[in-house]
Amino acid sequence: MKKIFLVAMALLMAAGAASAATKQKWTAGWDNFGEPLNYTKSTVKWAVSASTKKLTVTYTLVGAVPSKLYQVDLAFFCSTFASSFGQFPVQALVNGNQCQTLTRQGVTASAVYAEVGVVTTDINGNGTFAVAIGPVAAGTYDVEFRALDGAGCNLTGGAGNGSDCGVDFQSPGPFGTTTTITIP
Amino acid sequence: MKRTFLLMGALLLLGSVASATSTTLKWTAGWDNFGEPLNYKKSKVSYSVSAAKSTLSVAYTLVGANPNKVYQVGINFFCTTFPVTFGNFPTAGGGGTCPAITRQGVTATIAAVELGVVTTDEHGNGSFKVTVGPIASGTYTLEFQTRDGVGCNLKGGGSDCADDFQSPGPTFGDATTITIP
Repeated sequence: MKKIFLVAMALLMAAGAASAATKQKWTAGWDNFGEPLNYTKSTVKWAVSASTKKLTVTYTLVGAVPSKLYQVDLAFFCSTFASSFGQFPVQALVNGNQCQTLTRQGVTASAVYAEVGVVTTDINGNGTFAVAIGPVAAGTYDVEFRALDGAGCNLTGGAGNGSDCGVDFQSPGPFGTTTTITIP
Repeated sequence: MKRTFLLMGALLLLGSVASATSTTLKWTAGWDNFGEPLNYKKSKVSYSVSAAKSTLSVAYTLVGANPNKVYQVGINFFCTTFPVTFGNFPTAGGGGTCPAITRQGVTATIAAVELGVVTTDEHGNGSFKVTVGPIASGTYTLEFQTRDGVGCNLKGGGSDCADDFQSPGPTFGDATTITIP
């Protein structure tokens, strides 16, 4: 009986860790609105580990352009921000620690970005990328997840800081509509 | 007792899936670039084959590479002819007769398949996992490769196809064999 209890507890703990994940849908833009995507099947899934202070994110694109690179990141809506988010540097800070103001979809807000990876699509336009970020400083973050129109924006080794910095997909969106993530 | 047996069976099944047929290789310096930084002791490429699904899973891990850089990763097959696709990924150039290239004094005929990107963090560390399939049955002779940037044979990047890291190497053509039953 004791063995059954221990095994059952182990299974329950595993199930509990998995159930903390939140799954969101993508929406178009905020820069490009004609990029193909199966919005019903495409998702971004995230979860916070309170014990390790890590944020795990899985970006999934279905029915995008085949054999294409989509850089994925987090856009933080803020007035000031730290120079890094976990192990990733923060982009678009101005005057030291201030967030950059921009207007998209008729909304003006200030934001910064952490570029965390790339989704590479296969012959069907499907691809996925998972990343664990952390330890992240404790706090409450107002976030949109993004997929950019190429790879290399604010990173070495890609297309540079041109049209590939345009935003093809955002979640939740539209511009400025955010998800709140709390790191305890 | 029956419940204990079923639970233990489920746990054993989970354990066997995680550990089955996984192979880990080290990286060596690339056949084009030899000065790209990397912690060769901690960096690796791991792969496993699922016979039931005819899939190949690959995990590319770079430690101590250039920070905040994107490295395209894929597979370089040594072949005479190659199909148009490898699982769900296209063969660069469309398959057919494998073209000859010479690197490190070795001439071989090859086909390249681009699978994804490792994005490094501020410490130069990053990883990428992919599952490829279903793959046509056969024995494949190959090297895993990491390119000096992204966009080679893919849309949305630059054009740097040079090879920074190869596995197993250390010389172009030193290959590993993978069998899909």
